[in-house]
Amino acid sequence: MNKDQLVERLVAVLGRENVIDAPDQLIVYECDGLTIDRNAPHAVVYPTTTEDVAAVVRILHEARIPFVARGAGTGLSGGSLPPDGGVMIALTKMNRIVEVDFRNQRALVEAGVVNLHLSKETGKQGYHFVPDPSSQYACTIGGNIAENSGGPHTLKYGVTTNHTLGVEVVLPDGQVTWFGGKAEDAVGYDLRGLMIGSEGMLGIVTRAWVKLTRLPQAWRTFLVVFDQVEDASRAVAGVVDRGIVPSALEMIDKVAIGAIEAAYHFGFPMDAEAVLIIELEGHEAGLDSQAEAVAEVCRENRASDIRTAEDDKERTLLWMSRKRAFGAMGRLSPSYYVQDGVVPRTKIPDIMRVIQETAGKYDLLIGNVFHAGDGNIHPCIAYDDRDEEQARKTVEASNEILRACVDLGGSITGEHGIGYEKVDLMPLIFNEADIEAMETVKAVFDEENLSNPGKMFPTNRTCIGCGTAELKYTNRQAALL
Amino acid sequence: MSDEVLHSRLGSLVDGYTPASREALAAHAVEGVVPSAVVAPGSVESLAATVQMASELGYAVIPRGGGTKMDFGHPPSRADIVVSLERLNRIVAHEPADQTATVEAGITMAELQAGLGKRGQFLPLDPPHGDAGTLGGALATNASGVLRTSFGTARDLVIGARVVQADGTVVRSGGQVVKNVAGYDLNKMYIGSLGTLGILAEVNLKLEPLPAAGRLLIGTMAGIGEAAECAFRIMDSEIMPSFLEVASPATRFLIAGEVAGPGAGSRSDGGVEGHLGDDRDFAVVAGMIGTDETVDWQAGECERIFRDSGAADVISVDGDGYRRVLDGMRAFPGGGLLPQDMGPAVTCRAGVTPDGVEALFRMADEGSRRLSIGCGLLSHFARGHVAFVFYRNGTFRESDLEGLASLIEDLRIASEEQGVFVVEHAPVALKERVGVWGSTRGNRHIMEMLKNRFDPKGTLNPGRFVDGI
Repeated sequence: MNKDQLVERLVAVLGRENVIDAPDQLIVYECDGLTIDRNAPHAVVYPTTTEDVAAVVRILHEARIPFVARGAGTGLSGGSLPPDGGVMIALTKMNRIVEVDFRNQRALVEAGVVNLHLSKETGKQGYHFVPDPSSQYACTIGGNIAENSGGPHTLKYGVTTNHTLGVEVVLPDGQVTWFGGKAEDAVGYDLRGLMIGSEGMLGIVTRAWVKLTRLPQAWRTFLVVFDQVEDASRAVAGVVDRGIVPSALEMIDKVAIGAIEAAYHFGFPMDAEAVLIIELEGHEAGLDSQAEAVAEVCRENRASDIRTAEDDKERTLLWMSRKRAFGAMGRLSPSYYVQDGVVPRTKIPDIMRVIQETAGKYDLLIGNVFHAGDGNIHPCIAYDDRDEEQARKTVEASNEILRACVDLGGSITGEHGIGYEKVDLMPLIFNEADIEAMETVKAVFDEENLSNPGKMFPTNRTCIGCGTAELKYTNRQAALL
Repeated sequence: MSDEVLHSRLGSLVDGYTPASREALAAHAVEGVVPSAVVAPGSVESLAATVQMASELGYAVIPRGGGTKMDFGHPPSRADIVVSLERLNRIVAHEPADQTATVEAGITMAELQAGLGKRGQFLPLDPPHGDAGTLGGALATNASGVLRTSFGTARDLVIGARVVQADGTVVRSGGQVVKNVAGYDLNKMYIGSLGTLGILAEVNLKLEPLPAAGRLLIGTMAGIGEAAECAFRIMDSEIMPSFLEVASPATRFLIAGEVAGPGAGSRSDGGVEGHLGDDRDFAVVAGMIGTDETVDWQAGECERIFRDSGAADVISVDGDGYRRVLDGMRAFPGGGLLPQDMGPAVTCRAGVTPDGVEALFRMADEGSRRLSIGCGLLSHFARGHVAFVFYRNGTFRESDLEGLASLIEDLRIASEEQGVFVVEHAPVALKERVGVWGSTRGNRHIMEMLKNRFDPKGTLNPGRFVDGI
């Protein structure tokens, strides 16, 4: 089937208005939030129902044409980078909240529903959908499921997989099935659990039953100021060690504070080396004594100031500033590159030292704004994409930081996924047999390797990091604004 | 292959191995299938070597933890070597400030919790058979208890694993950190797979701090309708219950016995011959944990909701009573809450939505009264989980099994409208009639393919799992 014939068949199923194939229109779909790597799809289609998705996938399966599903394109690991000669299946027109069942505390949503829309829709009745990635005003629940997304408030409540009861899936051969459903404990192997976080490689999730969680009665949000990164890092482990589980525990360092303050004027202390945002949630009764315990840990670790968000407005502004931090980093340089490593939270002081040393070694500016409570770091490297040498150093520095995460007992991704970006770093944490087990699963679901090929699995097994995406084409990172 | 060859191979792979006596082998029979050897490797490497040998020589391996759930599933199609994980029972590492631990799968739940508790933490997983049952057994069956209401199930708590595959290769999945999306989430696949894809040898766990205080409130309700409505009101309130149980009259009676404590009276009239006496009250049991202040506030709010919902009686329990009731509910349906002198029970579980619980209670209650057999029910209500225990004094008669089979079929049809119904402990004769696992809902082919690729020779637990996998 040539490209024209393919487009003709897609148009026959979806209508002309739901198929894009003009080269100038395809540019937008060349990449997601990882703009370093780009590849134009043959065509982009916009199905509006599960049956549409299945019909498209059957055509592609029959013609052995690879495909990739895409939500809002906010992913940061190139998970929805189009495969060569492939078709992109954009799910943003499948954006209906099909059913909200408050009594049973769950909702049926289409994959293209924007994360925040569900929480807004259910907030009036006192409920929300817990996973809250920083891009939640744009990213879709289907994308959250593909990447098993987190967010600041997943420290206490868990990530997407912990809040997803069942998924409707179009398998790579076009068959439609449910893994899990409205009720829990489906019999047999946990295909639901396998599907979540599989980065669109085992099929396409079209609808999902997700859990709704009661909003807390009360919260306390603190901004804690430190003169040393080291002190802030120790305070993180100190809070957890005290048996307190905050709903969020975030760190922002001096470089990032400067960028965020310039962009949003929240009133962050510009002379601080680091701040922590600590949020406690629960019942009004007892929250103040917990807050006092947190303050005590911070003071023990030489906090210079502890500020409390006065009202809902200030709290919202604080979180808005935090969640749009990467966008603000764009003010510092023509481009920036965000990483997503994880260390055990007791190792945060160690990894922060490594990041500082790495910045010095490569002469790069690195800002840090991250989920300290779960040890999930997001070093954000500022660089100039027109300077090839600097771009190369950026990738090298980033890989060095991830290697350090692994050496400290951590992982190379906490919530952004392996995608295309980190395929050649997989051998840092998994050996040949571990990866073969994953490839076995892939082959069961997708023998023809059509669903999002070229992701997750290393291209070069012998030389770690060798094949890592070269900065062949760079651009200012799509600011998450 | 002669047994001598098998024994000599095992002797070279597992230190301290001696062939089991005829009696010991019979005691390790799985649903009537008697193995040729019982072996307890002392390390993950020895376990892997044992499985590799079995795979090469074509022996079927039956993994075993505490032996409390060996009657789960279908009878195995073959059972040559029972591989016990009892010697893999160490807490390898526990990092309180990271709230994580690395643990060998053969540790009993009781030993695990005692070990973690020394440093102020626990694993918020409380399956039945907590004393003798192992962590590995709980993971293989994805068993859970009352705390799943607030902390989820094993799939929410295991962050990494070392798994011995069917050919003896040891693979890792996940990692040691609480947040990690590198690679497919294979932990989920192994948990609840009844050891048919690999043997979980060592796991990394996400832990919680031990709460400062715990209290539970028991509200007595006139009927299941009132009890369910009360539970819905608690779900929709600002209380964040650590557990929220709805108990049938027989179960409520036994819980009340736990409140009263040992020596407070006989527990023997909970349902002899199915006669439950005049006590037809249901109970809602809500748990609160945390600091004293939040527990106090929630208990007050909970009592108000109980009263508003028409509770005839509200009891608040803390201290030793709290511990006893919690242990009692955890033991259900493992038998701990079974009335005295009752024969081996038939236990089942259903997973439905919370608004499907009431209908199952009614159906089980009416059905068991019709059959004149005892029936205890306990629901982790907010999760839509219902545990059923059917019993009588003495053993079930043929006519009981006939009636029970038809009741189970009705319950399964009702449950599978949206959820699942699984028969857990039951005589083989009953399982042959009603099946065990229920429907895999159009996913049989994928599950069979997974089994065939991960275990092409059918080495691990052949025949015991869904669709005869």
